[in-house]
Amino acid sequence: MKKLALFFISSLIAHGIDVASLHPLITDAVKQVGGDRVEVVEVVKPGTNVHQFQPRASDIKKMAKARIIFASGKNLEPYLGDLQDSLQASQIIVEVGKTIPSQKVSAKDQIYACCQHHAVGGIDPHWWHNVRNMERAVRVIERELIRSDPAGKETYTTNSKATRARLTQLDRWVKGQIATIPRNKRHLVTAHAAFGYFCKGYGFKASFVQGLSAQGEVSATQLAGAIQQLRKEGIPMVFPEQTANPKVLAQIAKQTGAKVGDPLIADGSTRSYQAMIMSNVNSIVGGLK
Amino acid sequence: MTRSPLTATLIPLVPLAALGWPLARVINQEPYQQQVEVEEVNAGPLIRADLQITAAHPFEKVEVTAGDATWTFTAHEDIKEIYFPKEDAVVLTVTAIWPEGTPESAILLTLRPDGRLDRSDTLWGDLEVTKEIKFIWTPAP
Repeated sequence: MKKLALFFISSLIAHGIDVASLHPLITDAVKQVGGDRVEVVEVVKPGTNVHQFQPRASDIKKMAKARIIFASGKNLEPYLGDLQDSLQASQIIVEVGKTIPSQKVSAKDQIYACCQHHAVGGIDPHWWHNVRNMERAVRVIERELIRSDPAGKETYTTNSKATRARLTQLDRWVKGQIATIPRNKRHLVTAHAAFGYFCKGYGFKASFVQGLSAQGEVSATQLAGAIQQLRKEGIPMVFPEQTANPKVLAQIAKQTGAKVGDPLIADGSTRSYQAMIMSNVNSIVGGLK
Repeated sequence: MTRSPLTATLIPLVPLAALGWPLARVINQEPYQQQVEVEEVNAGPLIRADLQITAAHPFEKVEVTAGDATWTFTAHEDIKEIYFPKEDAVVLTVTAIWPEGTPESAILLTLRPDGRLDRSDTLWGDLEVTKEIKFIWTPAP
């Protein structure tokens, strides 16, 4: 009984702050940096469509105790303006991706957008596909946790260092795997424009052929253009995404003679960042080398 | 009993003032303050950046100077928050000291400014070495 009481008291002391997260990958990073000191409310759970999520009254209620609400940023959450009106003065929203260098969605680069918010000229919000960007994100989380809970500085600094070390290892692993693909085959063809940061960071040419919507609304002209381009370049494999409609991509593949690879995880709506990166890289390397 | 003309005029104004005072407070209140923490990327004369060092061998001390500011990394530190002027280039003077008996070694410096791409360079040497490193960012077209 005495041990139980001690455990209860020590767990109360160890708990620093409550926070909330609006993206599953941010949840993973906050848990790694915060450790036992931080209680994370997962507002957006793995499997949720992060492009279409809108907070309901019950979600705002869940965030009531959170001192920090971590968002991905780069306009992935267009509802943040409305959300801020619903929060208390003591609560802050931190857009983790805000200080990460942005890439724009460009028509010139044959990059199409994933949804209306991220059409040509908009900022590509999928910054997490470059592992170096996630290292930056971890530092943002560390700084914000220290600012809100200075007593936990040592915990946050130690955990952040360990998390960044794991990410450095992961980045090395990604580069090592990609090195096994011949340079002239490093051309990633996916359904929607979620892999711009991956392609730029790891030296791939990028084509995103499925048009403006992740649900697969593609004009006939757009479709013909994509087929012509893929035939011309002799693309061996195209990659569908877990949350996008695979029909159009399968049709394109059939008409160009390309194979359809394993689905990639695009929007990061998954529990583990490392598992997502490894799954994507294994699929790409397996398909292209 | 009759009231004076002044009193007779003021009495009807009392309920109006009672309504008007809270209304004036509502109209004249301070503008609504946004609760979102706005962290302006590259706002102001200085840029915030993370400076990370990765060492091949344990070092005694690494000192990094930019302009008038100096940051010192001790053996247990790998990252520091630094600030430098908002220009297209920054010059860092880096001095590294290793313990005696350390073979020729290398320290990788990575600078990650908010809103700008990473820049990195490697410092090679043994015992004590100083190097000037210039990182440049091409202005966006």
